[in-house]
Amino acid sequence: MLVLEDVEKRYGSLRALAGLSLAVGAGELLTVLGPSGSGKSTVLRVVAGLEQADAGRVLIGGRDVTRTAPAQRDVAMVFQSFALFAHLTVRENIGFGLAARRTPAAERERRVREAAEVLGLAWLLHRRPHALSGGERQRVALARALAGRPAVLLMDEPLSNLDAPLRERARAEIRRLHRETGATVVYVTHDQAEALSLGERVAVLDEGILRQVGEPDEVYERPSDSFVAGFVGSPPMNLLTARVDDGVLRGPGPITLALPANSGLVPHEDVLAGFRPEGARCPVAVDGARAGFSAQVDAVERAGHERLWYLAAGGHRFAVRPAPDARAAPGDTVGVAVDAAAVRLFEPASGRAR
Amino acid sequence: MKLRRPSEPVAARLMLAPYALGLMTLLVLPAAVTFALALTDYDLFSAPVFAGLDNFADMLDDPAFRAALPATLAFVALAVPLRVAGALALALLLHRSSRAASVQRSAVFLPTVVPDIAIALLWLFLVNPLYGPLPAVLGAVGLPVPDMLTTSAGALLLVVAMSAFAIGEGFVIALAVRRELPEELYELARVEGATPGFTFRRLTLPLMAPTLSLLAVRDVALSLQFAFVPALLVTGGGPDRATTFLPLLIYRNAFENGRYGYAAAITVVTFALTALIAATQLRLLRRGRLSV
Repeated sequence: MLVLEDVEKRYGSLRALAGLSLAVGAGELLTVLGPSGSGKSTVLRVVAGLEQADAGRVLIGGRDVTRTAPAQRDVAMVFQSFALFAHLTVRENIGFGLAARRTPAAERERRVREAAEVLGLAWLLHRRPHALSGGERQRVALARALAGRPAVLLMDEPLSNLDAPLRERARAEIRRLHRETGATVVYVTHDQAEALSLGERVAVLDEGILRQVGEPDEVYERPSDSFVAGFVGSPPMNLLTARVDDGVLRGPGPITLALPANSGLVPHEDVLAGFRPEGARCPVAVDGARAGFSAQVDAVERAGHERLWYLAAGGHRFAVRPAPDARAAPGDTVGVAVDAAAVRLFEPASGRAR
Repeated sequence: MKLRRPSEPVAARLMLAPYALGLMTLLVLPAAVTFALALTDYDLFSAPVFAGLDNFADMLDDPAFRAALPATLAFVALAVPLRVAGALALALLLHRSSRAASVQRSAVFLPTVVPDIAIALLWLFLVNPLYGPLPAVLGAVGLPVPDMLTTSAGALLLVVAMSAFAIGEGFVIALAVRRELPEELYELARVEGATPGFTFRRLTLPLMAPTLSLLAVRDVALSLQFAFVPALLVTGGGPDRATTFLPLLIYRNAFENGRYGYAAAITVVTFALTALIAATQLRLLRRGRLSV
C-alpha cells in the first residue's frame, strides 16, 4: 500500500533520512519507533507531502506520489497536538476535510456521523474543542482523519499529550479502530512500549537510518544491532564487552555469561554481549556453576508486581528481574546466571548482531 | 541594619506613582479643562466667560462644522477598513521568515516612523499636477490623471491613500498574531485538501478576527490622528472643506481664529463621536461572534 524507496531528506547539512526503504502492507499497522531526532516524524511528513524527499520515491497504492501535493496523496494525518480548530464545532472539525473537498452537504453529514459514531462522539457534535476532555479531543482528531477515508492514516505521536491512564485506553481505541476499519496506519512514537504493544510490525529508526523492521517479538527478542537492543525494552538490554575464554564469555570483573553454541567465535575474541533483565536467573547459587557470578545489589525497584534489581559487578551496572519470591536489599551479594539462550552477540565495532 | 520592605500595596502605589502623575497632568487634567472650556467663550487674552451650551448650539449653524462632520465620517468609513485590510494582507504575505520578507517587513513599517511632515511633503511632491511623478507616470502610460488636489472626492481619497501607508503598528500586531497560529493547523489544511481561499476563510480569518476587531476599533481614533497633518499640509482642508476633518477644524478654531471655547466644544463632540463609533463596532462584533 505504502512504499518508500531509498528516500533521502536533508535539512541543510543534517541528514534526516538516509536512503530509507520501507513497505507497509494494505491494512497493516506499522509503528515507527526512534529517539527524538531519529527522523521518524520526517518519515510521516515526507509521506504526507509536507516535506519533499530530496531523493528516492514514495508510492501509495502503487502510484508514485513523490512530487504530488499533500491533498492529492489520499492520506490523513493525526498530530500530536491534535490540531483541532478551536473556533469550529466537533461536527465542523470532523467535516473540515470533506468541506474543503466540496463533498455535498448530505454526504458530508452522513460521513461525519459515521466517523463520530465509530469514536463515540455522536453526542458531542455541537461542542467546541475547549469544552472537551483531552481524550475526547484526541478522538475528534482521529474521527477527522477517518472521515476522509484515506488510503493511509499517518499518526504522529497521537497519544503523547494524554496522561497515562488515558493513554492506555486510547491505545486500545486505536487498536479497535484499526481492526474495524482495516485502515493502513503508520504510527510514529518514541515510546517503545507503545510501539511494541500497538504495532503489527515495528520499524526502529536512528539518525535517519532504518535499523530493523519486524514483528514486535522479533525486535524485542532478536535486535538486529546494539542500538535496537539498547533502545527497545524498559529497561533495555544489558550490554557489555566480553571475551571468549574457556568456553564461556568473560565480561568485566567476575561477570561470566554462557557462550551460545555455534556462535562462530574463536577463543580470546572480543564481542559485545547482551542479555535482557528477564534473561538472567537471579538469585542463584554460584558455587561451581561455570556461567554464574556474584554481584552486589545496587538498587531495588518495585512497581506493583514488577520488580527490578540493579546489580553491580566488575564496575559494570546491569538490571535483572529477580525470581518472584526473592528479596534483597542494597549492599547484599547475590548470584547471577545467564544461560546461553538468553545471550545475544553483537560485533564490537559495528554493533551488528552476529 | 535591616531594610524594611514596604508592604505590597504601598510598593505597588509607589511604583505606579510616576505613571499616574503623568496620566493626570498630561491626559486627565487637560481633558477636564477641555470639558470645562467647552462651556465658555475664551480667546486667550481675556478671562473665559461662561457661555453654557452656546458653543454646541453654534455648531449646528456653522457651515464649517456641518461640512467637517460628514467628511470625518467618510474618511473613517474609508480609511479604517482599508488600513486594517492592508495590515492583514501584508502580514499574511510577509509572515514567513526569509531574508527578502524581513527587508519587506521593514519597508512596510518605515512610513510609520518617518515624521508625518516629511510624508506630507513627499506626497505633495508626488501628486503635484505640474511636475509630480505620479501624474507624469499615469499620463505617460495613457491612464487618466486624477485631480487629487482640485476635487473634493480626489482630495479625500488622497488623504485616505496616504493613511493606508502608515499602518506599521497594525501590521506588526497582525504579523505577531499570525505567527502565533499553530503551523500544524495549516499543515492539516494542506493534507485535507483545503485551497488557499478555503484556508483563509475557514482558518486564518476566524482565528485572527478578535485581533482585527480590536485593530479596527482602535483605528477610528488612530486614523483620524494620522489624517491631521496631511489635511493641514497637503490638501489644506480643501477643496471646499472636503478634507476639513474635525481635528483640523478644532486646530483652526483654536489657533487661527482664537476661539478656544468653541474648539473645546468640538473636541468634546469628536470625543463623543469616536467613543460612539467604537462602542457600535464592539456591539456588532459581540453579536457577530455568537453567530460565527
